Formats: sequence, C-alpha cells, structure tokens
Amino acid sequence: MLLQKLKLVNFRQFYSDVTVIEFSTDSDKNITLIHGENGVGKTTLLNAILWCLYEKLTHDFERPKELICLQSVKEGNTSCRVELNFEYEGKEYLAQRTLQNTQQANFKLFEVTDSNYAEVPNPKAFINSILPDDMAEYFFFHGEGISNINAKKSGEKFKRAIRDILGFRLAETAIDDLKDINKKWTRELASLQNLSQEQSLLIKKKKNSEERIADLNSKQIKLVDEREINQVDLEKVLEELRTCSHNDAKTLQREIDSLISRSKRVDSSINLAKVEKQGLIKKYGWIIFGQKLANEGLGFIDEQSLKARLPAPYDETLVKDLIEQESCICGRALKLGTDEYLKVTSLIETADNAIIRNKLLKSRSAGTNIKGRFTDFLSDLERIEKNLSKLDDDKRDISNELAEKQKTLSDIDVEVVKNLEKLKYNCNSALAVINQKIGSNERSLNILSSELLATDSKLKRFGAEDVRISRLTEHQSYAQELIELCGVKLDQYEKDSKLTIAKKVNETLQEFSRKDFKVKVGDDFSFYLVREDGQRVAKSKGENLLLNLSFVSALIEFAQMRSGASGDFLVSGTTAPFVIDAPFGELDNTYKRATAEFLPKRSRQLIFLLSSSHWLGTVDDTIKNKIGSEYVLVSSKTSMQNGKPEDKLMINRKEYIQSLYNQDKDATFIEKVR
Amino acid sequence: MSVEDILKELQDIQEHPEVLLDVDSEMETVLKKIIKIERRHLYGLDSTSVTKRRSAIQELLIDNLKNKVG
Repeated sequence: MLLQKLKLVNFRQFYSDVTVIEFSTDSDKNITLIHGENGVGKTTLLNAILWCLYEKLTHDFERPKELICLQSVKEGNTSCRVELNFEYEGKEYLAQRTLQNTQQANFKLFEVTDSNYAEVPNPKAFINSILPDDMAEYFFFHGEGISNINAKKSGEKFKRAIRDILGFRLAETAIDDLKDINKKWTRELASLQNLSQEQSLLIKKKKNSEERIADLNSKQIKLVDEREINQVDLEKVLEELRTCSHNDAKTLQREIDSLISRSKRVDSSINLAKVEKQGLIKKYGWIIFGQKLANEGLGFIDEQSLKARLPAPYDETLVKDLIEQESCICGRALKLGTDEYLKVTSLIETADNAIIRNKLLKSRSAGTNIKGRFTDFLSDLERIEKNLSKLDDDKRDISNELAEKQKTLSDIDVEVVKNLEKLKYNCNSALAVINQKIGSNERSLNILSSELLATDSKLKRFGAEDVRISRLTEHQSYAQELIELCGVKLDQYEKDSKLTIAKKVNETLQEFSRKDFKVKVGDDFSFYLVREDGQRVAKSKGENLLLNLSFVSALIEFAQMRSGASGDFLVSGTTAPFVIDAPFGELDNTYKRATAEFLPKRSRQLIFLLSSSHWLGTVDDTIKNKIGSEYVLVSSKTSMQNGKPEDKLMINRKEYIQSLYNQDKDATFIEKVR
Repeated sequence: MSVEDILKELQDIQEHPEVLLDVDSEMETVLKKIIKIERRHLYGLDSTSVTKRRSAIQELLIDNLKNKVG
C-alpha cells in the first residue's frame, strides 16, 4: 500500500476542500515531510488517515465527536469528508469516509481505473486484509501518544495483528474453518438414529470432550495474556527498585536479580542432567537384567570348564576316527550294533568341535562385555547422580540466600521501598496464581486430549459395523490431519519470522544504541531488551521509543520483503506506509539522528509530521536528501496578533509564515514547499 | 560417481529444472486448495459469507476423500 493523495473536506480545522496533500511515492526520495507547529493540525492529519481507513482516532485526540470544521459549521455546513488515494498491488483505490451531521460515518472504497470508479464490496474487510485494524496505530504512529507499544498492546489482539502482517490470516482462518467443520460433523454423529447405547455414549463423550477442550483453550489464551501483562508490570517494579534512591534496596534487588539468574542456570543444568540420566537408562537400562544373565552364564561356563565338561574333553574328529577304525582307545573293538559302538557313537552329540568352540568364545565374550558395560553404566549413573545432588545443594543454597536477601529488602523501613516491595509481592502472587491455573489447565487438556483420542479410536472400531459412523469419523480424521499440518507450518513460519524481525531490530540497536543490549521477541510477539545473561532490562523513554520505532520499521521491512511471495499458503507481504507524528520528542540528538537514518532505509514510504523543534538541526541534516514531498501547515486566525509569534520557518532559503493573524477565518491551510 | 556422471546429472537438471522444486505432499496440495478458497471468499471482490466459505471447504474435503477411496 502506497499512499498517494489525502484530501480533507471541512475536517476539523481544515476548512473547505482546499487541503490536498500529495505524498511522495518515489522510492529514493521516500519521505513526505509536513511541518506544523503545536496545535496547528499535525495530529489531525494523522487522525484523518486513521479515521478514513478505520473510523479510529488516537486516544488523546481532543473532542473526538467534533469532526466537522467549526468555521464551516458557522457557515451552515453539516458534513465533513476525508478521501485517501492509495495504490495496492498495482491498482489504484480511493477510500472515502463521510460524516453527515452526527450520523454514522459512511465508508466507501473504489477501485479507480482510467477515471472510472468501481465500488469495492465489503471495504472494511478489504482494508483489513492490507493493513489490519489492530496494527493501525503502529503504522500510523503517534510518537507523543505512544512511547511504549508493549505497555499499550493487548496481548492476543496484538499477536493476531502482527500475524496478519506476517500473512497468517488465511491459514489461521482455514484452521478455524476446519475446526468448525469438524464440530459440525460431530453434531451429525450425535444426531444419527438407531445407534447402540454404547455408540451413543461414545459420541456424547466425544462431543463433551471437544467442547471442554475448546473452552479450556480459550481460557488458556486469556491466562497467557494475563501472565504477560503481569510480567511487564513486575519488570517495571523491579526496574524501579534497581534504580531507586535507596542504596541498600538498589543493591539488594540487583543481588536478587543475580541470584535468580544463577537459580535459572542451575535449573537448566538440573534439567540437562535429568535428560542425560533418562537417556542413559533408556540406552543401557537393560544391562541391569542382562548383567544377571551374563553373570549366571559366565558362572555356568566357568563351572563346566572346571569340570572339563565345556568344551567336552573329547574332540569330534577323534570320535569319528575311532568309529571309522572300529577300535576304541582302550583297544576294544567297535563293531556295528554292539553296546560299545552305540556308546562311542553317542559321544558325537557332545563332542568338542569348531562350532561349539566358537559359540563358547562368543558367549564368554558377550558375558564379559555385558559385565564391563554394567560397570561403565553404574559409574556413569553415579556421576550423574552426584552432579544432580550437587546441583540440588546449589539450588537449596541459592534459594536460602534468595529468601534471606528478599527478607532484608522487605524489612527496609522506607516508604518508597515498602510500596515497591508491596507491588512486587502482589505481582509475584498474581503470577503464581496464573501459573498454577495455566499448569492445571495444561494437565486437564492433556487428559481430555488422551480421552478424546481413545474415544475416537473406539468410534472408528464401530465404523466397521456402521457405515455412517465410518464416513463421519473418516472425514474428521482427514480434517484433523489438515489442521495439524497447517499448525505445524504456521509454527515454523512464526519462528522464522520472529528470528528475522529480532535480527533486524538487533542490527538497528547494534548500530545506533549506546548500550550493548539485545532485543528478544517473546511468544506473543512482545519485544523487550535483555542483558547478556538474558535478564530483561527496563528502558529509558528515549530507548523505548527507539526500540518501538525500530520494531515497527523492521516489521514494515519484513512485510515488504515478503511482497513477492507466492501467497499459496501465507498472504503475500505488502508495502506499508509509515506515518509518524512527532517521532523525535523523547529522543536526544544521537537517537534523533539514528532514527532519522534508519527509518527511511527500512520503510518504502515515510511520512513525517514535525514541528520546527523536532526538525531543525540534526533531523533536517540527516533527511534532507530523502525528501520527495514537503508541506507547511499554516494557521489562519481571526484574532489580532498582539505580539504573538508568526512562527516563521526557513526552508530552502524561502520564508514560510505559519501563523497568520487578523484573517477572516479560523482554520488551517496547507502550503506546498516541493 | 565419475565426472561424466555428475555432468550428466547437471545436464538433466538444466533440461528439467522442475526436479529441483519442492514437491508438495498430497495433504499440502489440499491445504493450498483450502487457502485458495479462503482467499476467494475473504478477499476476492465477490467476498461472501462464512457459511458459504465453510461449505466450499467441506465440499472440497468430501470430494477429495471420495477420490481417495475411488
């Protein structure tokens, strides 16, 4: 989506239909710069775009119900309109929102071809498919109103919106649709007539399990959201403690942080040791039983060898020779059919030969091998157990130290520390309750899922007797297989996307941030700065703004990168505009330069709404070669000047007066610079 | 494998580059067909109701299963 033209008709302070802004669509000079002093209408322009596309306004937009220009109302006008021309996938569109009196605003979208306007049905869904509603405030960014996206975001909605930008919408809807179709088939199963009592019971059980799973899943999503919000709150409190004016409290909280990090490392070592132990038992556990067998086997062989029974003390060849020669060693004749002959012949069965010697050798070697492995197995197991026991001791020591430090911190009798400690306690308690609920839900979900699997498998067996059951269960298995495949593919894409976005943000931070922190993208796309040891760090307002802007610009760049994708699974990416009102407010000169440098590189189209204090100097120097279109907002006032400033602005050696007094109208007009 | 064999393989790939493309499994092909239905019903200029969209997907699944059995 590339914004082409914005037209305001009697919208707020923009009088009549003379306000037209043509945005730069040039890929080299991709910045449209709109100058305006405070209160002249910069935020109104941002809101005009938001209102036109989504019927939304920024939360700090004053008097949101008075959208019609007061000057025009005085002249009897009762409507206002915003028109936005944009290009999307090679086609031109015109979005138009009109407000008549106080009625519901009317939204229309047209596809424009050679001055012909074809109305697009379902315009809201169409706009959402390009830039989702829930992400609007990030692409149309009010810098003064938002300095922390994480604090503002609302969990699942935010995640959903980002997944939309990443192109997940169609595949996610496909999963929802397939689940719904499966539910419908379960209902069909339940409505089958002439079923046996057992069949009816099974179907009822299946329906019940499915409903409970769906219910638990939706509860789980809410809980995970709640946990994230609490974690953000807790992090804020911890950061306040780490940086508070009370030195002891500050030091103690930092020591607690370090102990928590150590405790996490020990936990992870314990898990690794447990995995190693399980692996060892899985691979060599049979040796415990094999060893007994080997001992018995070797004992038997040794005993028989001692008694000279194994191998037999007579060789097979010797016995055969005696029979052939018809004469025993003792000199007796071995005539066919005689007792002597039969006795000597029977010795062949037990006589020693190459095969028996080989078997004996192998058995002895196998037995010895098992005994050796058993010793190795025992020593490995002992090593792991010792390690586990040491880790458990470490864990206990850390827990004790942690409890001690925590107690000392809680005992500090200073108001500010006490309050923060109380907040910390509340957050931790809330988190513990939430985690418990999540764990309990997980267990219930596992049980229900196993039950459902068992019920499905029993039902399938009934399918052999009833073709109706067989047909429906087969359909359900097919749909379920598709749901799982779709889920696996989406998970992989999500993982890859997070890595790419985090990489892009980290590149920006590495280049421009003063501190050596890294960004981490969480499960719900929350993003936060972490130290080397993985601990979250709180950010200054400026760092927050830098992080948020770099996150959104990375998202924009990523969406743009994906615009050439085939689109047969994910929705192809899109070129999104980045409209930013007062982005530099919280930034010092270094961060201002950094932001002014990376934003035009990351975004295909950038629209800056700036006051002279944000623009003059650093920002002007950094972006002047990238500006493709530039305007100045001029405030016309009926009041007398009476010493008030004219707000002169010098652009390209031409002077622009931003405040005109003693005029016949109170309104804002726009003057084109280039 | 001799150098001649490798050259022959490379020549085959040059003549039939499609062999390098990922081959979708049967289920992946069905999934793509479902996505196509989603796109048509959600974003197409003839965007329609949820019921119609789900009916179209259901029909596709049943047809595919019939063909499998057939």
